[in-house]
Amino acid sequence: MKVNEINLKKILTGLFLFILGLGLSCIYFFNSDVNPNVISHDHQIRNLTQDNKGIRGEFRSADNYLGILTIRFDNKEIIEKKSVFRIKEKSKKNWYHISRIDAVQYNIEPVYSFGFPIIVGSKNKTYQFEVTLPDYVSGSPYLTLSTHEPIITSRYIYPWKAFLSNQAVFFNFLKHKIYYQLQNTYSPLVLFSYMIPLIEYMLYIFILHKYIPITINAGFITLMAFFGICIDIFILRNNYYLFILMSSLLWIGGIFFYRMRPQISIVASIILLVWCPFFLSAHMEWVVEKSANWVYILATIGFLQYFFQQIINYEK
Amino acid sequence: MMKKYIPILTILLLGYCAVLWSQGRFIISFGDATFPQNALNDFYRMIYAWDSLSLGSSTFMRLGLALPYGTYLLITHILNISLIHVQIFWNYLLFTSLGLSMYFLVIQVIQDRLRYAAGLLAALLFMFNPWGVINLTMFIPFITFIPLVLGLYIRGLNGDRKLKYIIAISVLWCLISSFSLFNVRGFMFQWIILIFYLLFFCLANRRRAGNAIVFTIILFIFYILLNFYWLLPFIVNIAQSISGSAEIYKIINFTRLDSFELNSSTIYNTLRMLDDWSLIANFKGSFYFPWLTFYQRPFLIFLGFLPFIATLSSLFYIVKNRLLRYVHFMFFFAVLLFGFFISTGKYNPATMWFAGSLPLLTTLFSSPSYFGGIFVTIAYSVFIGYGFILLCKCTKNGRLHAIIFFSFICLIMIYGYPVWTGQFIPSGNKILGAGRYQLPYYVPVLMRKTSQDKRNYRIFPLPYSKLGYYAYNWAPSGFNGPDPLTTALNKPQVAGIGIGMQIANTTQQYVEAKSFFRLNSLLNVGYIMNKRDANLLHIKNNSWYVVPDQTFLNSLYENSKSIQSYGQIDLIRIPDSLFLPKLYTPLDIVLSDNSDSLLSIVSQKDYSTRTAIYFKNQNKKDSIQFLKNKSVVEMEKTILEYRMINATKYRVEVHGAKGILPLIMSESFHDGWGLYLTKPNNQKTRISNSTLTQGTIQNDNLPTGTIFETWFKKQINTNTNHLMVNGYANSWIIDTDGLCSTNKAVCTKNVDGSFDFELVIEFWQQRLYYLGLTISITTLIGCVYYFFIQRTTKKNES
Repeated sequence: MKVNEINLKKILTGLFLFILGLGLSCIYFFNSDVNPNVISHDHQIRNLTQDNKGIRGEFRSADNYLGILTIRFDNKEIIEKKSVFRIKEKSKKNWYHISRIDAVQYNIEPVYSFGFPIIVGSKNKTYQFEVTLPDYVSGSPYLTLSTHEPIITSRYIYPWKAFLSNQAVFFNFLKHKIYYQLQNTYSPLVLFSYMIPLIEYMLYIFILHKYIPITINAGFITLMAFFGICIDIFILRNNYYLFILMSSLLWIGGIFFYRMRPQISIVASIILLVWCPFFLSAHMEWVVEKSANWVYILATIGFLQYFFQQIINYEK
Repeated sequence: MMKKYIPILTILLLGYCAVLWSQGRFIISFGDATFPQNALNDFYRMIYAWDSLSLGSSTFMRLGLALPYGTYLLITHILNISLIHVQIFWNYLLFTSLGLSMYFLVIQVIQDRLRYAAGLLAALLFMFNPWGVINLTMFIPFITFIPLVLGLYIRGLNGDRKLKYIIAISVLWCLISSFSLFNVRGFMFQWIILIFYLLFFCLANRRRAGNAIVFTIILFIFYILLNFYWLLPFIVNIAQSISGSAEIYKIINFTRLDSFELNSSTIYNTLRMLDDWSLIANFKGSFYFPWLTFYQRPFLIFLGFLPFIATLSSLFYIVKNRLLRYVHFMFFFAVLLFGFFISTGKYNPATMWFAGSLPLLTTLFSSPSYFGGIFVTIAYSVFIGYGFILLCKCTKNGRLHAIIFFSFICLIMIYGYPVWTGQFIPSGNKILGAGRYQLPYYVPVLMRKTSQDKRNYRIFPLPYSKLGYYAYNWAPSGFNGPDPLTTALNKPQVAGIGIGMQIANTTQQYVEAKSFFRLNSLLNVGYIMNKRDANLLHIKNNSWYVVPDQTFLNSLYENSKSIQSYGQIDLIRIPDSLFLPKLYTPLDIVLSDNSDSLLSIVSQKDYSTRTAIYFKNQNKKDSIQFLKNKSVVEMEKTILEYRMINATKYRVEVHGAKGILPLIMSESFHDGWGLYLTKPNNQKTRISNSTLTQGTIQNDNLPTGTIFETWFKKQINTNTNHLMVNGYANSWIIDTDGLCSTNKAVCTKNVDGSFDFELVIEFWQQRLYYLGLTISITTLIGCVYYFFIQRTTKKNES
């Protein structure tokens, strides 16, 4: 009976870690686009023409709220001229939006996003766009598209109010968002990175527990600090310094109240550090940044704790 | 014995890759790393407090370079060694010094039988790491020698023979790194790390704290005395140095805080010995460090985190087992954390708070990732040594130790791959030229021409560089970096901000060629240099340069009677009627409100070449008043004979001066320039190869005089008669009648009532250099004498 209970505990912990990994991946996918309320759609090259004077093409809008069009350039030389971006619905006569941009920007930012006022009812409509060089002189460098897919990506900016007023819109948005992110080359790496705790846990219960017995004796304050750290790393994309300060103080509080040894902070720091290369390989820069910040904070706490302990001992 | 020297030999051998960087035929020059084309000229720039480059500036910052860098350049010049070989050997010396310096530190701090192997690993990481090549540590000796200085200091604090040791450290320190401390940060960094260690030492050995503090104070005194020759002028001019660089920042529309934020780095990149800016820095889409993509590969990402994982694991091991003998580990861990703290810059609210609150902090530490990186790299290198020792503790098997050792070496060499291939030196593309160059065939011809021409004049280059950098289309892959022509040609070229830039800006609109020549005459320009080999793809629309309008250039060619072409470079001679010598007396004086009106003044039809233009906003009110009250008379008959003795001293013989004499010297205005009346030269001087130009004769046969001839003399100039003229230059308004009535012995009265007398114009701060040098040499002699006495006493006792 007791053995079964222990096994159930292990299975439940594994399941929890699996769900946690999936959940964190979803949170990451949400945070990784331009904004959480933006979904993207890559377009196949169709009706795309390019000549010395510019690039022209059309695409079919996948959703409502079209607001950004991203084009991947690969200009071979610097173009010191102004370019003009235009977009309109295919059936309409007049251009919906026109903007002038320094063409040199396409060298600085080859994957360039053109923004325009949001088109609310854009779904299933065909749009034409062009990026041209009005002052083009024959023989001078011209705009060139990249050969790497995706060349054209349309982005749809959902207003937050739309989610609140209509649940169907929200679920449709959610479905598209996750689907788009899963198409991303790095998404398996993201999933893998978040499954590392599960892998480590399984590794521990099957093999390592024989060699490294671990007993966690953390109190409520330390647990709060632990959750604070996790929320900061995996959920909050921006830096909330007060939150980081609070979590750090809670951790220090845990050290005082539960007489935690300095090596615990150091081990926590090592665990987060080992995670960093996985996150970075999966191009999860903001998660790595946050993890590395906590590596630094925890290592500093552990070091100072040990250092002051030594000084106190020296006096004694 | 062998154990100790095999690592040294290995470092010397691996340092050989520095020889390969130049590929046997190129000079390496990019970023802030430069090497002079004319070694002798560069040496002279290191021993005078005034630098004649561009329009002239006080150069106290370069004085420290004279030893040993300047001496090295001088000796190789005398031995006639080719510049490429001079640079190759210099790079080799500095690169191997990186390793040797770190090796010395590690064998001081790690007390273990495997410490020599640990020292070698640390040395290799210090030599072969990406941070080192991003920031060119091998070309910045104050970083190279930090570990050596620290190692000596640690040994000194823990040793017995204190005074003897202090003297030895300070003499060695002065020799190895004084030449790189012309940057105040270098001086600070070496001391910051020592003070940091002192604090640590005092906390860990409280009974010996008093002795340690006394030791450090005496060391500091000796250090100051030995480095007095560059420190004295430096301290006197520190405020000027700060305001000067602030002005440059202003011109390129940048603030110190911008620089601070731009050069901040996230911790995860600092952990990997990289920095954020370098990974994304590009110009018009071309990356400055394209080789850094190497570190984006998954294996390299994992490798990059390995040193810190090893460091934390070592810390865990030490903390868990309370290994007190690894006390230095704790010190370096504190150094590492401090390095991370600084590197993060804008990402860290505490650092940002300090940057915003403490005055001068962003001025001194405008590049957090660079300064923090110094600490991080030093600490990492030491930890590699510790990591190896602790890992070897896990097993007593010697073979396994060897496997661990060679695995460490392999990983370091993989991580430092761009260093040993020389990949970090830009190979060049159409926009960003290469960091290696070979002068095109026509430049040496131009160099010969300018060195044969003994006239004193300047060259005005087009396109114009505001910061002294240049981009050329030179074969094979172009060039981009500090302009090699600056030191190659024997004549100063106008560059930088100020009046030069103001004149350069006129070329972007339509300006008459004659007006442009007149503007240049005010700068003592002899030739306009049109560089057709400039890389316009880089220079155009770049805030660091001014590109002239093509119509203007055409009119310049049409209006010049003498154009000499040297390959891709054209020298357009300023017509003789418009050329103004370096020293002259004006025939006309113009008073104007501000320097913006310069172009309109010179464009007037009745403008005379020998004009002095005073701007009210550049001079004190009472000085201008002084000028208004004096009337300039009979200067047509006044003849000046002058000789430029060196960058800080001119001898001027004035013939036929009467009434008020405005004397103009076309060097940037500085309060340090003084005018002295000296005893006339009885020796008859021969005027050779010289012609009278605008009332001035350049006579290089005038005597040089002695260093001390003006030392105890009173200056003629006062606050009111030393004025800024022509928007930048020095002028003195001399009342000849008043002067000669009080100094009859030194003035000769002519039949027509005019006077002949001799003046010396001197930059007085040069005296600080001489004074400082005397103190430094006296201290050095004292130190040698002390060692000699010690030795004799010891011998007598024995």
